[in-house]
Parts: sequence; C-alpha cells; structure tokens
Amino acid sequence: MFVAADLLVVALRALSFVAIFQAAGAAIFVALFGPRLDAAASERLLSLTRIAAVAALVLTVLTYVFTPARMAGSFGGTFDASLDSLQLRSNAGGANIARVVGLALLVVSLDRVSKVNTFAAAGGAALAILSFALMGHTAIHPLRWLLAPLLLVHVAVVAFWFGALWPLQSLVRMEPGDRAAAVVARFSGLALRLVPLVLICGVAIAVVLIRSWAELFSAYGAFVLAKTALFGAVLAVAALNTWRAAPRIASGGAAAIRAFIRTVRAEWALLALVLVATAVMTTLFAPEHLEGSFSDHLQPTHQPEK
Amino acid sequence: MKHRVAALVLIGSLAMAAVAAAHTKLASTVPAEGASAPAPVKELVLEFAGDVRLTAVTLSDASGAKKTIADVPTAVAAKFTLAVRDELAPGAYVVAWRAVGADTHVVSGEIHFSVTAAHSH
Repeated sequence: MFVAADLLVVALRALSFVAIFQAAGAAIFVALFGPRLDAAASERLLSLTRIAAVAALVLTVLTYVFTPARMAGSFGGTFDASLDSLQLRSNAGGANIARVVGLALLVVSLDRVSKVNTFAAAGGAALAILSFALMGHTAIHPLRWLLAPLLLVHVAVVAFWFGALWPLQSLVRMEPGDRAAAVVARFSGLALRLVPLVLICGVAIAVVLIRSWAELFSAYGAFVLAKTALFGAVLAVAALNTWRAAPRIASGGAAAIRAFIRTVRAEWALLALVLVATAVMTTLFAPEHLEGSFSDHLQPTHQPEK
Repeated sequence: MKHRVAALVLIGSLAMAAVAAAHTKLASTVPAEGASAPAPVKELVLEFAGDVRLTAVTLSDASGAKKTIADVPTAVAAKFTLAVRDELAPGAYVVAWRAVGADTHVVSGEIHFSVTAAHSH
C-alpha cells in the first residue's frame, strides 16, 4: 500500500544516506591522510568531500520537507503545520537538526586545508554520524543504552570505510605510485582492524531487534538478511582489493592501477547498495515487537473522542 | 566472574525489554476486518494499541468510489470514531488508513468489510 509520497521519501532518504556517509567518511579520510598527500591531491579530495556534503545537505532537507507528505499519504500534506510540528517534536526533529548542522559545518570547513578547518570538519562528520543514533528504531527501544553505542560504532566504521573508497581510487591516479601505495597500505591496515566491528555491532543490533526465527522472515528480517548477504559480497571484494590489487599499486603500472580502481568502485557500489537497503528497511518497516511502542514516544495532545 | 555477571546483566536486560515492548499496530476496528455488517453502517472505529496521530482515512466501495466520512481529527489518541456521512448500500467496502507514531514512523493498512441488507423484524 505504498503511495508516491512513500517512494519519493524513500528515494531521497536512500540517496541522502549515500551522500552523508560519503561526506563524513571522506572528511575522516582527509583528516587522517591529508597531511601525507601533495597539495593538488588534497585540494581535489576537499572538493570531492564538499560536493558530497552539499548533496547530503540538500537531500537531508528535501527528505525532511517531504516527510509530512509521507505521513499524510499525499503531497497535499507536505506543508501541513500539524504534521511539521509532529516531526519537529519527535526524535527525528532533533536528529535532523544535528545532521543539518553537522553537514553545514562540513560544507563551510572544507574550503581549505588548515588545522582549524580539519577540526571543524571532523566535528561536522561526528555530528552527522551521531544523528543516526538520535532517531530510528534504536532511539525508541527500551535497550537504547545498549543499541545507541553499538549503532554509533557500526555507523562510524561504515562511514570511515565507505567514505574512503572514492578518495582512494581518486588519489591512485594523482599521486606517485609509492606514495599512493603507502596511503592505501595505511588505510588497509586500519580497515582490517575496524571493519570486523561493523559485523560484530551489526549482529548484536540484529539479535536485539529480531527476536525469533519468525521475525527473521518478516519484511524487516528479509532486509536484514539481504544486507548481510550484500555485506558478505563487499567483504569478498574488499579482501580481493586488500590482498591482491592494493599491493601492486607500488609498481605504478597502469594495469595495476586500473585493477585497483575497478575493485574499489565495485566495493563502493556494493556498500552503496547496503546503504540504500538500510534506508528502505528503516523507512518502510520496523521490527515487529516495536510496532506498538512507537506511540509511547508521541507528545500526548489528547482530546475527547468525537 | 566479571564476565558471568556481565552476561547475566545482558540476559536480564533483554528479558526486561521483551516485557516492556508492545505489540500490534491496530488493535481492533468496527466493522472488523472481513466482517459482514448489517446496514446501516453509521461510523468507523479504529482502535490502536497505543497513541498515534491518524493522518488519513478513506472509505471506498468495490468500484473504488470514495464515500464521505467525517474529517480525521488532528489529536493524538488511541481510539478514533469517524462518522460515515454517505448511506452505504449492500456490498463490499475497504477502509484505507494511515497513522504516524514516534520518530515519524508511518504505519498504514486496509480493513475490508461488507454491508448486508438491514435485518427486517
């Protein structure tokens, strides 16, 4: 029973997820590896990150603007003051404010390389990442104290990983082979230690949110299974990248660089699909045991029944 | 020992959460899903498991023609009663509803029922 407003909001939200993770992750990449790159490569990465941050900001605002239309089930509800107010007073209101402030901070701080700008960009990325823990199913769950830190680690590592891929494939074309290889090796070393946290935290969240085999075969459970399968495919490509394509970059050979770019782009596309699946899952579906508890978080405005 | 205590705390918390969490989106309706209601049907009642903001309700007959019902109230509540303004002839009808919970989570559904000729005594 999905209507056009549902499809628009889901599409906007999915694209915003991709842009937010790209912007926040690329900002982390610039903060970690910017000093190791030459000025031209740094400028290029800042420009790319800024474009992603602007796109994320626009998509976040559009998602927020059209959410009342989805609430009402028609575009006539887009500027319904009572639905706007409901959204603003909900967890999503505060989370979206944090997200917009974080993304705006990213946009304004990515105009040049300096310590202050890097610090501000890191703060913006942190706010954008934090916003994911301020809304959604984990924010209204009785076990929020457990789910929020798990989700934060999960989201932060995904941002670090996903956001670094585009800069990586970009810098191997701009930097000398040995310097690019050093950055890729450093990133791979960090990723090898951090990426398992995505799986550990993701499984822990799924165990709390999906409580039975029956729930695993609900629409929500099906998306979790699909995400897990996609994640497995990403890990396979990442492994190929880390152990086969990346070590060959140092040679500076065109074929080695092309192979690396191909696998990094495949990894990026698969992770983007995981983000899209997450946006669809969290917008349209909910863990079955949570359906009735959404109402506990509404601001009561009881009026006598007609 | 510390690990055992931590495991017990975790298991206990999960069990408590299982008790705390509620169920079902729409608790009951009048007419009920699949019911045959004798004419005249003068009102629709939608009762949710908890408070929601009901945002849209439409009543249509088998041909898809919309029937006039009372405006949806803007209050947050668990139970909503909407007057049916049109006279419903015997036949099949569908109520499409949409409601919003916390964090702008949207829930929606349909209730199918039929109206039968009024009982004569």
